[in-house]
Amino acid sequence: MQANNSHDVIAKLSEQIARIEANTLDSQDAGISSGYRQLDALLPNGGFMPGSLIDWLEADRGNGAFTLALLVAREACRQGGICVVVDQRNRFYPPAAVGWGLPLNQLVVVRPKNDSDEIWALTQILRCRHVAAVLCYRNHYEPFAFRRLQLAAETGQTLGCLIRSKEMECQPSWANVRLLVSACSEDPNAREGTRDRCLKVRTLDLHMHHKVGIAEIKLSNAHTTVRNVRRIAQ
Amino acid sequence: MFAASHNETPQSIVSPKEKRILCVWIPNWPIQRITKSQPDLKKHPLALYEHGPRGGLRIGFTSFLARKNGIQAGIPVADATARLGSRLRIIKHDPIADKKELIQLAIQCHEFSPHVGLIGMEHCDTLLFDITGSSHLFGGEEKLVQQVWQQFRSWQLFTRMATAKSVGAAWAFAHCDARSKPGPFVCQQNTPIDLANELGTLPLNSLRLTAKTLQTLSELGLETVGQILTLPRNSLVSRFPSELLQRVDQALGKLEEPIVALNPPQEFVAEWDFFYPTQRQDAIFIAIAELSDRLAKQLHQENRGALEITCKMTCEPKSTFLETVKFYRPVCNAQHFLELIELKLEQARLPASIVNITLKATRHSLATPRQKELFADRTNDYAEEFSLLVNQLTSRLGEKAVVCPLLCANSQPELAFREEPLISRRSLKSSFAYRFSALQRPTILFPRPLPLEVTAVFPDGPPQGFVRAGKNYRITRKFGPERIETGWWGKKGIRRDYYCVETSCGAWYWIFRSISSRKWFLHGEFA
Repeated sequence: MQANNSHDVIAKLSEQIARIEANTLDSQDAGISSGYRQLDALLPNGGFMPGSLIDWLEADRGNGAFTLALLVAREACRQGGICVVVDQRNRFYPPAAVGWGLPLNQLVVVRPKNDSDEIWALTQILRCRHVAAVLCYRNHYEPFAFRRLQLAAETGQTLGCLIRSKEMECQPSWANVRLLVSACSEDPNAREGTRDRCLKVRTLDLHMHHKVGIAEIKLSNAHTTVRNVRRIAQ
Repeated sequence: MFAASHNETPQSIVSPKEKRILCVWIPNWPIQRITKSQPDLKKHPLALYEHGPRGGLRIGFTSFLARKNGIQAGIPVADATARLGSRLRIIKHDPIADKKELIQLAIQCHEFSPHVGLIGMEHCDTLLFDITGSSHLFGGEEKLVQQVWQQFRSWQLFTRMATAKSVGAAWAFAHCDARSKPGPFVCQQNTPIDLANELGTLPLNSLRLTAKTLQTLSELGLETVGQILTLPRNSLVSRFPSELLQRVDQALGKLEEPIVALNPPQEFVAEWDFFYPTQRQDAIFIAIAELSDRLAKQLHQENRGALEITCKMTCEPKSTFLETVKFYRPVCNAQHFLELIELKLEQARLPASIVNITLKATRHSLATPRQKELFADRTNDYAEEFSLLVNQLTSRLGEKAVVCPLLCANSQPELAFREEPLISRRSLKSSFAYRFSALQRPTILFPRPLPLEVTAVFPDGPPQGFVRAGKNYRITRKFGPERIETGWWGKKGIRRDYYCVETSCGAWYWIFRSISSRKWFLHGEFA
């Protein structure tokens, strides 16, 4: 009996926390579509909310997490905002972004020299309302810095895409949405000579109690938009 | 060096109300401009070329050495080079640079007169100073002219100068009077008859007449100004173009000829002197806050915004510390100035105690007008926010750390784009069209290709697997080879066969084999 009561209390408290956190973002507006219907269906409000942080966890290097984040940023910039890539290691290749349909006149690259400058720059950029999306390849965030980034994103209504490695899955995160991107192990539809790329995106449960699920996505060379393959599981 | 009219006494005093003009002629100014900046060229025959009226290149201006070797203005460039070969230095004539530098000289001469202008027949090569009522400040007109002469000598410029009571007369004496050669000539004509007598001996081209009018007068046997002045005025009006009478009247001072004065660029400066040298941060920031406020008010009064501010701190002993802040758009906000200067100073270390701080808007432009609207457009406000963000990022991280990429027409992947500092770029448009599709280029490109150990079925065959960071990767799919060859004629050309490969774990990489070295490299990831 007492165990049931304590379980109920915990459930109620979690619900209240989720309600409070949900109120920080305007849940009436539709989110930014990712371009993949099945993935949008897994997200609250049918898309990524402006003013939120997204953890893009890549199962392995070269798995396509950054590319997917870039595509979401492209969608976010359709209303005329700027996409900023914070690239401390000087590895981002802008011509590839052009190939994916992101206009160069809406792309800015910031190259801080050290970690503290990187966090400071991220905070300032997220706070700017003219910036539609920010992408940053960085694994570790201090809890206070992470919370500051979340508040900055809410202030600026900017979409913050943080690309991190899968090892960060167990680390605490202030991101509103966490997605694990991996490659499809076997693509039965793969044809010899085609340059399609199949990715699997799994939403990780956080504290917003949105649906956990997996979606398969095919990136095609012929189009700069993506096509949904199927939603596998819920 | 210093000639004077026979009417003049050594210490003659000019009436302060009498108009006085100083004309400074820089003969062969295009050549002198080049040799001033490149003194080595004085030792060689030098010629400037320009496009001829019927096409082709012809010599426009020549130095003394070139003329001595038979190179005259007007001859084709081919003839000139055939005559002197490599001894002749030929440079393209730049009339815009000539005018620009002459304007700079005029602005620097404002210490001698508040009204300095340019004049020239075919091209600007003459400065006019209005020295009415100001020569007594220099100890007399002769001393003033002597100082101007010395100033131009210090600039390595050969000049001919003359003063008179009208622009036309001063121009005539400077250009055509042998008495002004090689130095300054002060002409004191107390009466109009004196001036007419002085001008009478000069040739007709001293009146700044067009070639057609000069030819007409020459055919009639008229060679000097004196001959023109003896003719009845009515006949000048009826028989000759109006230009002749106009120039005569201008030379005699009967027709006003204003000088279009060049104004020095407006300066926006605020300065603070400490009572004693200090290194206290709070005192320094209070001073900078006050100076930012003053500077913003100066800019606001003139409806201008700063594009660049320099904060100069004079330290004791004599040394200076300089920080520059740039802005994406013209800014006239004291708080913003202060924030950015503080950002810069946080990262800097003051060398010694400060005695003086000067804030100067080194670049400024008209402030962008923004009219408030009833239903305000948020896009404009956000653009303003973005401008402030760029200023902040650039101040802290540096100009080269906040960039916008532009595509280049280069097949070599690492050179297919370049980056420009966003702070100095107004438009983010790129004119080069991108021709690769999405999955042909990786989103991550390593600054330097990383050597890779690759296994292949046969030498020079496609890759089957590779080892990276001690881990074996099996390639399940590969696309290529894509041959990229550039600059075969130079040293830095590349010859690579690129493969886009998918590994068994689903990761995509961009690897290439160097054709010359037969080695494999990892260049990018399709992250």
